[in-house]
Amino acid sequence: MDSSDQPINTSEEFCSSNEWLIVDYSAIGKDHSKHDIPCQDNRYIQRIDPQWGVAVCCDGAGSAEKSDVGSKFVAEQTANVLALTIEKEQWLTKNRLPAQEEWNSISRQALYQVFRDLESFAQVNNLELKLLACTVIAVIYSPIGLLVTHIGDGRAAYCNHEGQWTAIIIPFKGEEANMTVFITSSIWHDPDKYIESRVIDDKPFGFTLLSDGCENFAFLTHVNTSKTTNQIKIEDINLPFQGFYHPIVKHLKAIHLTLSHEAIQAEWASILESGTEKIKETIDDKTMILGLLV
Amino acid sequence: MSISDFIETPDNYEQKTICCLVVDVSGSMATLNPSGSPINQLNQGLSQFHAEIHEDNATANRLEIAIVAFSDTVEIVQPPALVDHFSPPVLNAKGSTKLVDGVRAGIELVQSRKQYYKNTGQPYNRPWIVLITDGAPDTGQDVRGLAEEIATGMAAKDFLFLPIGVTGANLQMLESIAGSYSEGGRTHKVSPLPLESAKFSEFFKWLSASIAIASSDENESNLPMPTWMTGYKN
Repeated sequence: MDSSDQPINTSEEFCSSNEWLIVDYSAIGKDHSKHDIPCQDNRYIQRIDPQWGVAVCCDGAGSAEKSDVGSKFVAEQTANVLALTIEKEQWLTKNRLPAQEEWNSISRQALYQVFRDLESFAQVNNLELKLLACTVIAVIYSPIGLLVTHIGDGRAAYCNHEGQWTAIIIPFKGEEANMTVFITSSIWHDPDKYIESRVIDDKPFGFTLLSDGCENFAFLTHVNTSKTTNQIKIEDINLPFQGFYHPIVKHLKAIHLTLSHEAIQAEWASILESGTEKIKETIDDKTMILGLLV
Repeated sequence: MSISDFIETPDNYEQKTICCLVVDVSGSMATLNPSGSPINQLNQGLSQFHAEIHEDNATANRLEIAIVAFSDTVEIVQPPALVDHFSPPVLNAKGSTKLVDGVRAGIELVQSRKQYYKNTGQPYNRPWIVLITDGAPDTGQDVRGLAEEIATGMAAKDFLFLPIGVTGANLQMLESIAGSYSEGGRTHKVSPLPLESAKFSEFFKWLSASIAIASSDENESNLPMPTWMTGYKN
């Protein structure tokens, strides 16, 4: 068994005060930096109280000139809309989460509201809507479960009481590797096809949201399953890489006891910039949010 | 020891981008100019292109190169391969210019490679076909038919076609076969890019940088400016 398959934390070690330590960072991709292209990723955290909040990760379309502006607007607005939803639905005050069908409906309405707000933003700023194209992954986190919804690609996962990380969204991929849909795409006629929403009613001990720039070092995504040498049969899988998450979780939980939040954020930024050679050499922008119950 | 010493990353199978170079090796490419002959400059450029990709780990693992050479015959000089799996060829110039046959061989090659990617489950990006010529097609070559094939292929997002006209090339003919591509909801007409043969080295540097970006985020609009183009002012 590979060491990365071994959960390094027991539920006892994960025992918590039900408060979240959340780190977030966006690093510009190596080639974007080389050619003075702005970071097109954005993220936003809206804390409602120490236990409940919203985290959003957006990846601007490479082909859209103002996607850095679009991803910033969508990240912030999605967080705002979902925070209002938590209040309106009284999920925090009643300490409950919606059932799957209810969340499907509510999350789609919320994302549609963000889309309409983006349309207004584009109009006011005299911008073509398509220039603001971006993906969106949003999670409502709480000590009793997670609500996740997304449009497009990227990855998301949660950590259970045994310290095992499991994917909670399936990225939308087109025929070509980098094709996906955006909040600005023609998707609203068929939300079942383009918007995935899930209720995780297992107590979460961690969650992560990441733009597709991070998936090559944080997830197992494509593995050659051919048993014959010199032959290729690639399987598309969606598995958070335990060997990536376990040491980072252990490290962050340890330094959390002694360092300020700013210092922990700086450590997280350093990991996402150049934690390993593979991370450092990543061509695309890299955004990752990591939440841990501490 | 720092946290970096404990972080492991997975070995994912890399997505692939194929770039098929369709190069003119007709006799005119051997004509001497003040800075040498185009064929020698092309060979030097190919060698440098190979070295630059080789030095960029991320791109070297993603980019497959194929080379189709045409004169009065068409030859697949290099079947699709990662740069670590082949040495840059040395091309010789002779004969006439069966340009249409050469480009068609390039289209067939990338379509076949795409099918291979699909059959084996490999994620891939849109292929690039880069035509490099210093002349005009032989009489009787079906230029109009080729233009239709390129237009159809570009519209279907089967490939991106980039015609490069070395000094002396028939840019009007290249303009007639260059297609259009859609991106971010807009359609962009591709124009042939004029190139002085002395700037082959600069062109291949641009090409390696451009493919590196395109292979990461399907982002043609963010490609670096082609400073090697005749008449370009930075």
